[in-house]
Amino acid sequence: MYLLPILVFVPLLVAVLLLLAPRSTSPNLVRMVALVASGLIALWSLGLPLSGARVDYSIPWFSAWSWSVNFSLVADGLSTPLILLTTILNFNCVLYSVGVIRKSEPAYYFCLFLLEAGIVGTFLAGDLFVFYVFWEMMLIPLYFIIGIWGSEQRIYAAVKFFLFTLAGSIFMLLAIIVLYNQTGTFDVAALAALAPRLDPVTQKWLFWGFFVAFAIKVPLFPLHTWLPDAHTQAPTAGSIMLAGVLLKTGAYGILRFCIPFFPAAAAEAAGFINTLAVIAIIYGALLAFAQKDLKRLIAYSSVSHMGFVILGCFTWNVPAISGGIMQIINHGISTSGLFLCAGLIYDRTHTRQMKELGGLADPLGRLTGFFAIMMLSSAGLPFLNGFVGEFLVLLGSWKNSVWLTVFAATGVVLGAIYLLKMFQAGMLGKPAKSEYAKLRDIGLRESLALMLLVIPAFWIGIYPKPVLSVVEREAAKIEKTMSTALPSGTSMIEGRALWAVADERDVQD
Amino acid sequence: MVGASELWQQMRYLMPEGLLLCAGLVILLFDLVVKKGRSLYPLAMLATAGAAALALLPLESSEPLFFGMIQSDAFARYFKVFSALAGFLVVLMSMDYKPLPARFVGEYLGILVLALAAIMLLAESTNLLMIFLSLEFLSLSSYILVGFLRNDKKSKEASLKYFLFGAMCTAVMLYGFALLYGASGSLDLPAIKAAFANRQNTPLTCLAMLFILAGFGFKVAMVPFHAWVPDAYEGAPTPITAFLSVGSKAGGFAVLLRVFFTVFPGLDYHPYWLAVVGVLAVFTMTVGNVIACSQDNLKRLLGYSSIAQAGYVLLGFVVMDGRFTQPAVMIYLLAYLFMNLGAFVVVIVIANTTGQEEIDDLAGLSERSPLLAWSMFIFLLSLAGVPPLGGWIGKYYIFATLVKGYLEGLSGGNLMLWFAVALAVNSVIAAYYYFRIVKAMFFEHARERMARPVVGGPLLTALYVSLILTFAVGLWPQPFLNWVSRMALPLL
Repeated sequence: MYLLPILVFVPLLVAVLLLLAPRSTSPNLVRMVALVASGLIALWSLGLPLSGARVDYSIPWFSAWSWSVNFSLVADGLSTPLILLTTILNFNCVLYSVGVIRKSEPAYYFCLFLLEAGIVGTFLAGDLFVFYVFWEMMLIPLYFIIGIWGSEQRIYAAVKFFLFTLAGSIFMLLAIIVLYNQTGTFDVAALAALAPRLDPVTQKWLFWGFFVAFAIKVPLFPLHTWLPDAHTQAPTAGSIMLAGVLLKTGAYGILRFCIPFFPAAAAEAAGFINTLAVIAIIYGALLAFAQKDLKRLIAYSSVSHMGFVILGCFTWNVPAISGGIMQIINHGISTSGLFLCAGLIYDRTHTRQMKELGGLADPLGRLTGFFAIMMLSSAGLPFLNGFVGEFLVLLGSWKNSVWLTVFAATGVVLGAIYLLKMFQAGMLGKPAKSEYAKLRDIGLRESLALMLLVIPAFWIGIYPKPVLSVVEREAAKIEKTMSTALPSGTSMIEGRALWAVADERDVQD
Repeated sequence: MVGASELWQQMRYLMPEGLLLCAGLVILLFDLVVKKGRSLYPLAMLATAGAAALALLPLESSEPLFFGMIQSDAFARYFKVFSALAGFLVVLMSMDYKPLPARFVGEYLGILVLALAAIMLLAESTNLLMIFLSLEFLSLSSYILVGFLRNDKKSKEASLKYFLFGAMCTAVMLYGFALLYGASGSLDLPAIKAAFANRQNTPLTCLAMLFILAGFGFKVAMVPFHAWVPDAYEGAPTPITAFLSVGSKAGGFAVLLRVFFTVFPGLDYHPYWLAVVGVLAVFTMTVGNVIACSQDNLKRLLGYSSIAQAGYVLLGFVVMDGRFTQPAVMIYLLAYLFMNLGAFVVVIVIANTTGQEEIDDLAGLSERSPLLAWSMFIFLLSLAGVPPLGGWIGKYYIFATLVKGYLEGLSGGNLMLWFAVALAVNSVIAAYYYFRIVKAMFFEHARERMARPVVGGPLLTALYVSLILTFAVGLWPQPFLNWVSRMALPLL
């Protein structure tokens, strides 16, 4: 019964403890506490039903003048994998950071744990009001992580990140309040039944109110401009959490709220949004190719890869949606891995410029191995995780629109090109500086952090069934909402109508 | 006629302000005779705390008192508690405020305590004459308090500007009162309402109301009557700035709410009125926020921010639906009391340490004093309306009120949605300058020779009280919400 609240409140409690710790606390103790706590939280999160069964917890929070709010948390097939990802990545971040961060450590771990609580709460919220509270809560710690522990341009990046996301979310708040007044509830499950019955015009406005907030977080072209700055300037752990799970809250919001609440509006907007997604895929890939900075390259690759997520989510068939969800998880694993490797490289060479790197494969053998795996997983090589999601998205999308799929597929090719280029420039060739020969390879702690990502990458790539079956069930639910909300062939986008006709023909045969 | 004994009976409803008036006079006398400034602080604290306690007693009367001059209802009681509480915190803040000359402390405290009584009277007046008297009582005390740093040019200038501006606004307001009296034949708010209920409105009443709005708008710092704010806020002793931004503003809102809810529903200009107030509110917050972005002085910045906050609260008025408007405004003011006073506590500590109040003086505060930096951060977050803090609950209810008004098709409904959008846009602008301060505190490094700020007992108490209540209103809003909904004006 207390499974879910513990998942939210223990990180919060640890965060507060770390903040209130007296100044004389030894840094070793702080690190120890952070490491043990995040490990235990990760273990505790494994207690969630891995089958994706629904668990919930709810108590009334406050109510006045016909507005009532319940503090309710729900875990199901959509949120469980993402929560696992969050807790594991948090452990990963702590594991990495204990060796690196030396500046005001209690405050640093305070931010990491507050971030964890915010993100887990966002994924768990079963009430829109609670969702909004956590959604805003995760902004603050990341703002600090970027602003205090980031690189040279950190202040600019932190402010930009903060204002962009705040601007999006304040309009979402407005939409939430309108939605509440129209339906009389904040409860997500109840809203999924009530909201689709609203009149089309209201639905359309509310859909965009939510969508813009989520699109900024994802980020979808053309709202992505904060991302490269934030990623480049953030410390490694910040980048990992940002790429690994924070962007996913946007995609999660789309799948949890935008589409199920406003199916008619979503169907109407799908053509436009899918086009933006494909633009993001290609544009992100091209920009990634042009980057000279290692982390900036990975950041733009995120724009490209998250384009696949959006393309999958807004294509109304089971393969595409499950591909989109798989891509959410996979991108979380691969890109965090890439950022972790980039961070480890930076710690040793003190540069992110690819022309100042090169030839690191020799001194940094182990790191190069891990980096290669992560790079290939990100490029979508079969038998690694990235392949599963992209393949399913393209498969589903093909049935919807051939042209969009063709363009999206070029993104995969471009992805392979810029990722290989990155790897080549960074690790292979001649060393740019002679002192690189004396670099120290990664140790046990860092290898462990990377192993935590490599194992799931292989596991999902080789035997995706356990994850995929959970994901497919969720995708089927969304597909069902869409098909019941819309009589096939009427107001749906053209491609979907064709696909429906083809289906019928199959049945007749 | 009401007999003397009955009047004596009615006195018990005036206990809190009575206590404050007596205390104010005692302090002044004591100061005159004994000349021991600092020893008067406990007395002032006792008086404000006692007034708060008395105001908490459930002594309410729905009957008009003192020949219809005063109505000591739940609504008035709410503002009595509010002003006594604000007064208590301001006295605490004054104790450690260095620039205040010790030998004038008696006068300072005496006038401050009297000003608190004026706010209480303002909140319970139901007669135009009484409103005018209490408003002037409050204004005159405020003018003196703003100019209290006699050797400081800025303080003197602030006081004079405040006075001139105030005198003009009051004159305009008085003109409005006269017109209203001419149109309705009475000075009593209920009688004015009754007079309008069965009669066509004329441009005369409209003009009267507009003039009255000038007087109240001056008190709450509504655009275009806000011009005094930045100078007065910068020049005044910082505790007085805090008092102006919270106490005197709340007094203005109290009388505005009462006049709105008593007189306006009778006017058939009512929807237009709301549009006028709404547009003024949008101007108020936009002007406040946009100008605040370029301020480097903390007190000026918080001054413009308080103009913007007044705009948010004013938007609550636009939905003249008795179920939501008042509670939304009242809960916002409550949260604002704690978060704004808290921010000023930090400003005082900084000014005590460095001798000035620029944003630069906060540089690297997180290294010099984590407690102050984190508290300031919480207050600013709350002012920016970030959950789960008090300011957020307030802003949420203002939003909710507007949306509800829009959806229920109340008069001027479509505008309300646009007002809500304007509020949303303004929240983002506000976040920018609040976070400029955060940026200085956490991301920048302290200059050399910057001392570590020392927080004394009284300031620390004020800081903790503000901090805890800012959190409490946000995390556990239920009791506060219950309280404000019980204290709202009865619907007419």
